[in-house]
Amino acid sequence: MPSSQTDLLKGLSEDEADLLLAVGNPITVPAGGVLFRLGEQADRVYQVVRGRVTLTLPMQVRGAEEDVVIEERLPGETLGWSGLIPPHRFTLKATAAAQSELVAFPRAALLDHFSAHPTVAYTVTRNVAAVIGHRLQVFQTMWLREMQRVVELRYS
Amino acid sequence: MMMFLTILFTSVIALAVCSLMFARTAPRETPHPELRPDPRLALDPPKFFAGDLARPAEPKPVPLEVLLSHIDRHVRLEQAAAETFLDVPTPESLHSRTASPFVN
Repeated sequence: MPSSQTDLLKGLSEDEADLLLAVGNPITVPAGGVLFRLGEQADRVYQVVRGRVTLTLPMQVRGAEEDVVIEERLPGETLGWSGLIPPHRFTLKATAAAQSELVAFPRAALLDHFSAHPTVAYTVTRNVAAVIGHRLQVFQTMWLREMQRVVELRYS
Repeated sequence: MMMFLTILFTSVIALAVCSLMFARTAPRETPHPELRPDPRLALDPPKFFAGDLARPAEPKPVPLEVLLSHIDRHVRLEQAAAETFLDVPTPESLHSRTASPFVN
């Protein structure tokens, strides 16, 4: 997939994208493998190259804790932005739904690269903000829809 | 003889007074119509356990796997609806209905 079509690298030139990708480490997660868990220290940002990663939250179902899928991440999409945003704790659990290949960007290496390449830092930060903003808007909408149903159930 | 007749006369009067008082205090034989048992009830067979049969059966609990798949489907459909709203933000698209099993 071209860098211009990925969440994290869009807006960068090919050279800038290649330099940034060199900061990351390619990893492979088997199907069912856990990339990170809720509450863990977040020191990496990930980009999916191949496969599919599900983001889940624990939910109490009939007295037992079950992982409920909140979102999915497909090739070209970013996950684990908590690695860049304080307090650097993952707020979801990420599991590979199929064998998946990703690029893991360690925070320290990423910040060093950003210090050396401010324009790249600006573009990537805007990209991360767009990912976070989109998630906020989607869940704000979902929350309102559920609130609407609660009000209808309770007061109609 | 005079004494005998006096006692007899007094006894007859006492008996008459007692009978009169008894007749007034005793309940009348004619029952109130509203207290009569309903003849249909008397003919019906006993229904000691019939109530349980007549009560609607409680719904079987949904298997956990099915419930989880419903939750998964609900989240996906709601997310898709939210994305649609963000593409075209109108009150109608905000409250559009989905085919989620939780809202139908």
